Amino acid sequence: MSKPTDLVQGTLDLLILKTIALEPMHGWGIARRIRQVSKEVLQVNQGALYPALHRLEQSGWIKAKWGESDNNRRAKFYSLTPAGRKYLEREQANWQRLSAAIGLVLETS
Amino acid sequence: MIRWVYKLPLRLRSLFRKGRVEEELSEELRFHQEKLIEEHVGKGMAREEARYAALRELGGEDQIKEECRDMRQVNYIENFMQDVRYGLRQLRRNPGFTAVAVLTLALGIGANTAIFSVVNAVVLRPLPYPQSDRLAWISEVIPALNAELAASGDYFDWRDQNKTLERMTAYDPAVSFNLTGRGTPARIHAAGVSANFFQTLGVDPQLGRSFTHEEDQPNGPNTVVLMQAFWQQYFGSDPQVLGKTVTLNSAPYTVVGVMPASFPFPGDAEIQMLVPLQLNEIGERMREGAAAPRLLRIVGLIKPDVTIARAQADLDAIRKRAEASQMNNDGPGPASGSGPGPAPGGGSRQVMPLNGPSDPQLKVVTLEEHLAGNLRPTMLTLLGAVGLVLLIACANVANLMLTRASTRTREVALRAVLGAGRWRLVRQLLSESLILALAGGAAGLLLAAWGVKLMTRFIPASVGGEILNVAPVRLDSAVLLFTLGITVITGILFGLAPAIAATRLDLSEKLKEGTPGTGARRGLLRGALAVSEISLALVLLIGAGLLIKSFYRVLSVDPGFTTDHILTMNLSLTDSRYPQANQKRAFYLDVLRRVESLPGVRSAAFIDSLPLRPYMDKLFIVQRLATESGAVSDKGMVMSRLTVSPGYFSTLGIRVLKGRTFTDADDEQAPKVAVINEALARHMWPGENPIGRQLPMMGNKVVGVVADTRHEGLSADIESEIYVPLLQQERWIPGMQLAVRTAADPISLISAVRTEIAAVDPEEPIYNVTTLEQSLSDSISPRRFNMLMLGIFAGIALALASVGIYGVMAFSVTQRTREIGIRMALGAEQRDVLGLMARRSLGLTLAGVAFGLAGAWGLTRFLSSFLYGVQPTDLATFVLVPIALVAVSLLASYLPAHRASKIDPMVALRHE
Repeated sequence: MSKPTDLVQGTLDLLILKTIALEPMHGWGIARRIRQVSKEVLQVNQGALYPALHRLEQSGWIKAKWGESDNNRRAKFYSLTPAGRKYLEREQANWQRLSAAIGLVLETS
Repeated sequence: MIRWVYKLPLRLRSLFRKGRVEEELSEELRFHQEKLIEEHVGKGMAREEARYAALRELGGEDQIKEECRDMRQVNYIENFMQDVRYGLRQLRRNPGFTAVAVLTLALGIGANTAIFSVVNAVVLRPLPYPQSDRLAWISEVIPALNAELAASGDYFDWRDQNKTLERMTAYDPAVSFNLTGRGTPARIHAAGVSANFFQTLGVDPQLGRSFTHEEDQPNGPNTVVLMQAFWQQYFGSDPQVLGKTVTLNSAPYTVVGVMPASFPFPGDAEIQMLVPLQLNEIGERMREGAAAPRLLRIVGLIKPDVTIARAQADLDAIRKRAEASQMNNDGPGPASGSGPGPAPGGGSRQVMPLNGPSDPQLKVVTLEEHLAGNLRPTMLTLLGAVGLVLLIACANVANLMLTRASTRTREVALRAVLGAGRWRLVRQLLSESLILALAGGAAGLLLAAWGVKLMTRFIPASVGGEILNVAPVRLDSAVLLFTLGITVITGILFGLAPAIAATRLDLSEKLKEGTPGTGARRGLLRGALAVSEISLALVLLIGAGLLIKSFYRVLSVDPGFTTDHILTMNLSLTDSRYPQANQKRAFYLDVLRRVESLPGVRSAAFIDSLPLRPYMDKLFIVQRLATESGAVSDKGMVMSRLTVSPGYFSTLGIRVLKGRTFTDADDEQAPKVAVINEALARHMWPGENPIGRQLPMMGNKVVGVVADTRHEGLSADIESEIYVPLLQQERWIPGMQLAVRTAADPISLISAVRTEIAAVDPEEPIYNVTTLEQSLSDSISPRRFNMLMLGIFAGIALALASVGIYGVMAFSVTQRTREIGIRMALGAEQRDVLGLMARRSLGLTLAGVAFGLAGAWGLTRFLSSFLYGVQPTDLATFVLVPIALVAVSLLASYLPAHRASKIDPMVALRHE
């Protein structure tokens, strides 16, 4: 399976944060959710996912907790910290402004 | 940042629960992998096939893990721990090197810590009074009196008219009493303080109360506030002390308060109690008549946000206004008077020609700066000196590190080949030097703890007495922080250059290399280090040389009086017990007669101010001169009046130049006479014979001229002096000082003299018992202290620099063994080899001397206030000290050079 889209680091962070904003999720779940929601366009490589999760956790944006997954297996669930929630809002607004701006440029020229 | 709540435990966990964190990471990845397999199986793959697909997809597990580890951001700490462990191992393996390096650093850091702890107490740490940063010392600098005091009249003007001070208080720390009523009579040092003294300094009595406004009025009730120490000693810390009395000058004083132990009297540890100052405000404001103004010390509490400069401008304007209005009704008149008693550290009521030729300058400084006085420049100079010592120590250790690095090139190269980055290698070597520095710092701290105790004991009271009482020297947190700071800086300073040099590698060269250490560059670095050591040491040596020469100059000054075999002591008669002048006179004469009859006593005499003590009585005399044109001009002169008994000149061995001295016949019935010193004769009657002349305004007839004495110290200027007979003294005779010339050791006569005085009056306290020799020694102790301290540091510097040059030469010999072997094989003599090595050593030393001379030329001017009779650029010092340094340096390199000359060419050629 080839990598359909290389995700820039900041973008991956944003996707992860957005994905776990609703409910705590484990790594596998995050990857699957991003794939489903993006209609199979965005494939998150595990080699990028786990370092990113580590980084976000070390930065204090997300926190991790061990819990039970379906069929009673232990899994590490990630959720947003209050600081992470604010960070997400800020980054999301930035992203939207940026993509709108890019859209404008692409449409006019 | 709230995020730290999450971050910190994670970091700690990554550091200390590393295994657990790793396990969790593996479990997390395994979970992911299984989920992936399940997904593949769900899509219809065979289980085994699904597993391989998943593994392929996941990529290298170890890589992911490593990347995650990087994200934890604690790698550098782990690396550091590794470096530390490795460094410790390395240092343990070379105990000799480690010991020398640690010892060198301990000397450097210890000396700096010790001096800094004094600077910290004296300059940096606030005084132990609330709002001490706003306390200002306000005084008038009176050049003629060499004093910083303020007149009471100015005090009232300032207090009432200023706009920049919140409070202002006056005190007089030179009030003394005879304490009687219990035990041996004693002389008590007290301070007269205004009622607002307590609020201004922000301190309250621990027991009782401070003085009321009513108690601070003239002829107010006799009340006293005790200092803690006196309360403990005299009343045994009696909590019921309030309302009890102490007998001072035969009058009862009621105790109204006790000061807390945490309150040191500003600048005077001797003060045992406080009494109301009781200034006569109306009288002092008038500023007129012959009565001299009371001289006070003034402390003000500056309003917040007001600068010292603004306060000074404010007060100066007030003073100028007052002066202007006063000029109108004040002509030049005889200013003369006297006041109570012998004043430790400056008289309280001296004759004060405030509007004389010496225009007093207003001076406003922080109280701390005032109290630090002489100790401040001394300590800052010494701090500079120990800074140089530390630099030398750094250079020395850097040299050691270089030597060691050269034996480790192969190790470093190997590590580099195995993939260690250069920065990683530098860091590793740096952590070794940091460990060394920390060990040196710890040892230095011990050294400093001991050194501070020793040093503060040797700081002369006349230099540090005022401030060290208020701000004792402690190794407090600021000092520890300073030590840690210089330790780390030191570690980087001596570690960085060798580390960079050691890792500057041509790998293939190093791995196959046979001879240790290469590169002209590293040789250059070593040479530069040795040169800088020598130049820094030379700066210190020249500084010490100048101080030693000054000290020698001072010692060879002729004081004009003999100091050996003279016992001295103070006596003070109270007005209440000796109300009449003739009663006092009778007492003194009786004491003289009895003491002189003691076996072992050659002669005895009284004077109101012995040599090497401050003058008690200053006069401002105006002499009317007729100029050639016939016009008249007034010439003002400041002089000191000394009241002496007839035997004074012979007892002190002061030479009589002209005429005679006093006899018993010069009593109150006889015409008033005076003896003047040479300086006065020269000033007042230049080129004329003063015998038989009348002193202007005083009217005494000059009967003799005596030689000048260095009354206020060997290095003090000679002042004009008038001696008047004790027997003709009609006004209040202040406390007198007894000088006893003995045949044997003066100390052995103390108890006999005490007994004789007690026989005249057992109620009379005898104090300040010492010998003139001791006073002389005390008077030069500040100079001796400066000389000793700088001498010690220069000595350390010299020793370190010698070790440094020895190290460089020894290394150079090892390095050049093969070369020397070849030279010898080709016919070079031992002598030639010695010459070769000597040339190298001489080259380094001379380069160091050149830089050192330039540095010393620029720096010694900062010593000029400590010098006496020596220019900061004294030629002899600038020539002799470098010669001595060159000699020492050649001596230090003799051993390695000698070894070089003994090299066996056959062995050397095989030498690898």
